[in-house]
Amino acid sequence: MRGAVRGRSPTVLLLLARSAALVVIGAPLATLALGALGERSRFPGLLPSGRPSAPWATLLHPASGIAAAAATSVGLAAVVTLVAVTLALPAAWALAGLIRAGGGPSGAKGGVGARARSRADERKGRIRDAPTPFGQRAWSLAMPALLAPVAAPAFAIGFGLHAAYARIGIGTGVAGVALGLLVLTLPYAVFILAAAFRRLDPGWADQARTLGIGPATVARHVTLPLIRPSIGAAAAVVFVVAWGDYAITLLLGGGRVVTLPMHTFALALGGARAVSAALAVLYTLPPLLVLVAFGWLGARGKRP
Amino acid sequence: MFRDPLALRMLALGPALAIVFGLFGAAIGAVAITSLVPAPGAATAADPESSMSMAAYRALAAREDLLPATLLSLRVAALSTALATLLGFGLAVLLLRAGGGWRTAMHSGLPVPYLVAGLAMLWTLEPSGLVARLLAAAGLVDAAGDMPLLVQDPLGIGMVAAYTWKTAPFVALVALAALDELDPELDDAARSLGAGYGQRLGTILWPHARPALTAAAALVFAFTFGAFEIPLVLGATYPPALPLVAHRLYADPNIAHHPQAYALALAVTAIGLAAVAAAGGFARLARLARSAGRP
Repeated sequence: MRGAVRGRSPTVLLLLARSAALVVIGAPLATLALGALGERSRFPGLLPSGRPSAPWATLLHPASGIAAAAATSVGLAAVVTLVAVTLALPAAWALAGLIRAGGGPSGAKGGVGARARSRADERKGRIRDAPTPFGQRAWSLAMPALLAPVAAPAFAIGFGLHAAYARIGIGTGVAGVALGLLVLTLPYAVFILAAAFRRLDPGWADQARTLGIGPATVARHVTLPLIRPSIGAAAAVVFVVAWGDYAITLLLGGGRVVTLPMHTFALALGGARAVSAALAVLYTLPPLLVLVAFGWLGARGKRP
Repeated sequence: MFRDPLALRMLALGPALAIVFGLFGAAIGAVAITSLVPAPGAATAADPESSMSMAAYRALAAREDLLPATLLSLRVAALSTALATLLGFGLAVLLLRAGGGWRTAMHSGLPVPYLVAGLAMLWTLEPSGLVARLLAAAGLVDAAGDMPLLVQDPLGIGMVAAYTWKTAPFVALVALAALDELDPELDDAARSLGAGYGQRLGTILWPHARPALTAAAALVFAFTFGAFEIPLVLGATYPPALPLVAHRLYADPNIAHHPQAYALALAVTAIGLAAVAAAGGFARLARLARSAGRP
């Protein structure tokens, strides 16, 4: 990430513009925080009244049912993240290779052994990245197929999967929801990881292979560590998308899968302002922590 | 087979493609088939094939709330996309030379789930919300009713505000990924040649970010057209957004109305896919145009 390395300090106008943007972005978050810290005061009071801990005491009371919903949300998101990244890694590696075979830009420019490779190719008379008909067709088929669930509305996927499950004989429940979330999130993971594989210099793996190391070991100790920031990014995006989902869980859970967003909405609809604000804050914390963790992991990954 | 690299790659691609393409295809197929089921009484059990009809689509089109709902959804999606693209690009330009602290702060909305974003925007913009109270503190508003209606209003202002608040930082992230590739020397060279700020923006920054922005805009449009969390929280009772119409039909106790829900789901999906396909078409054309000039 580029910091203020250019030495030219930002102008007053720029700082003002940034501050204005920050105020607009922060306003709803401030509303949430204020709403969660006590009872809503009468108009036009700005600060909440009453004890700040009151809504939290109600929320964290054992009879509230929040703990079970939280466990369901965490469990679902964690499982979907693990499965999505695991499935996406080989698929993204394959897609990156297909892009090269299909005539797309190889992405990795220069790097280890690039000059040697291009000289070797010239000697053999090989045109680099020449598109093969099979590669092109595979590429043009795979891309829209993977992109489609991102463009489709979640409720349509929910309707359709519910009907499809009925035909196969799968009922509503956690497994159905998890599968639906997988359909929703896999494309993101594949695209992020495919971009990483495209940027990856094949020279590293080639050198390791010339040293006699087997392909599986190369994958574990050379390739995967090199793309670790992107694995973190893919996991973070999948988690955030799965965590924030409401439609798929509602439509495929059949009322038996209760997650935090359902409680949040029910409380808000019922008019329990402070408690629903507190739950909204609680509901926002895990994705925030995941993104912070990813930032930390990503920064570490950049150091060789 | 394991020695053939291309076959190995197809095998590796298999599970993910099966889940995504297979399940998604099954879902859309089920939506399509279920939407073609005719009204009860018209089908004969002996010949189910011939009894498929477009009756559900006709009934859907005949609904008197379909046109207002479609216009509302289109309006909200188009406005949100336009604002998110412009403001997101602007935000990216503001953050281009900024340090990590500024960038992180500006993207603090990203982990917020859409339902929470909707509630937060509702509580901020409602007649007795944060903005109204701040205006009252400034003496511009006397009573809670003086604020113009910004949420749960027939124009969809609250929905556009919530969608823009959530998606503009996402567009900014995409634009920054593209703009960070630019050499800062380019901008300095332009300045030394006498280019003004507007010129540098239009000639260097915008064209470089435009491909990524096109894709991001298409995704934002498809998403805001088909999502239902924000309309649920910030939408007016009438007209309802299209996803909410679909939900009501889906949950209707009269099961004769269920095929209409599937018909609407298919229509909304088609529009979303068309938007992304159009953007993909643009991107491909742009890439072709660029490479045509190169030897």
